[in-house]
Amino acid sequence: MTDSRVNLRQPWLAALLAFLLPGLGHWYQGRRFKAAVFSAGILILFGWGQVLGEGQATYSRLVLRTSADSPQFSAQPPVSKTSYGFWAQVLVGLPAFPALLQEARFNAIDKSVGFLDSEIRSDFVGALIETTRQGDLRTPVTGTLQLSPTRPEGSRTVQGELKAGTVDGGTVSYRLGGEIQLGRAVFGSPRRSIECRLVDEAGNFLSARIEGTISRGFFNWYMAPLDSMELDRLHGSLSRQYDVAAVLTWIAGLLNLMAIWDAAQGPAYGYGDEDRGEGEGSGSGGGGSGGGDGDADAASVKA
Amino acid sequence: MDLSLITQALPLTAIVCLVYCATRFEMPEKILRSALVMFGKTILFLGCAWLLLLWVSG
Repeated sequence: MTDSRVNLRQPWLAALLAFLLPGLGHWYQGRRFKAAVFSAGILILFGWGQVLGEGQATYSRLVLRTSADSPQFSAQPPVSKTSYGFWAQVLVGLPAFPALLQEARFNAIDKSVGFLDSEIRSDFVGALIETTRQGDLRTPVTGTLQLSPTRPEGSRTVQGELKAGTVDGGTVSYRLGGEIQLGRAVFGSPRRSIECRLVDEAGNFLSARIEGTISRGFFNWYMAPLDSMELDRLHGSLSRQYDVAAVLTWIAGLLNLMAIWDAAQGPAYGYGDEDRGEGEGSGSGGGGSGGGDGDADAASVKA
Repeated sequence: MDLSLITQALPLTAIVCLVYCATRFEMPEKILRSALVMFGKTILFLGCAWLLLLWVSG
């Protein structure tokens, strides 16, 4: 409802600003108390959800993984569906916009799949797979990986080594070479898939390879589209904390929808002193008879 | 009692009540007063619901 004491200035501009950043529209209108309440309340809720969800509670698209092949190894944009929760999250405005930017980056053809453009040094978590007559023998391996392309401008073939820890506390080195399988640069997981073969000192291929993950840069995974396997991993490691995180970000967005409405239309029930004003006989722009708090006030003011 | 009931439910309820009431009224005193009343009612309702579920499942 519109109260003459509330200066909405340009309501459409205030609504736009309120959408871009919670509280900004009210600040523009000079409603500083409400600006503080909206910005603090909504941004705390959204940030709280992001922290609980380890930065992965907000994403605009979900890749439905239907086979064992990792969508990280697909240069073409994997088939994905909209995350319905994002429709609520995006109402928070700028804090959720990185998800849209990441979606655009995600939907581009990724030339970095299976291509190493510069040297990488990262921690590695995965397995050493030795091919034997009885089949593949998998041994869990963690360590430090160093790989560089065979050509300075970048290439699909690499050389490097994996220094892995052993059970007795020692370190063992594996020489790596040949073509690399490297996951997409932009993907909603802090871990980037990698596969590489083992070679001997002369550069001959051994019947073994490593499969695992290395670190992915923050700006390449934060709010980026993720796949159902990553979602399963999050639910597995965070349990219901991840669900709480998602709900908090949804609530933050939906609360900002009410704040946007307030910036455009003014407070829904009135200025707030209608019952006092009637008692004192002083009129107010949004006047009306008031009852008690809350909904009772609303009903009477609207009447 | 699950600790998350206090660490998560109470702050969440407080923020929701405050932001909701801020969209209903303009006066800071009215906003704070109505948010406090709404917070109390909500916690009372949630507490009753929790006790009911505890009794049913016990």
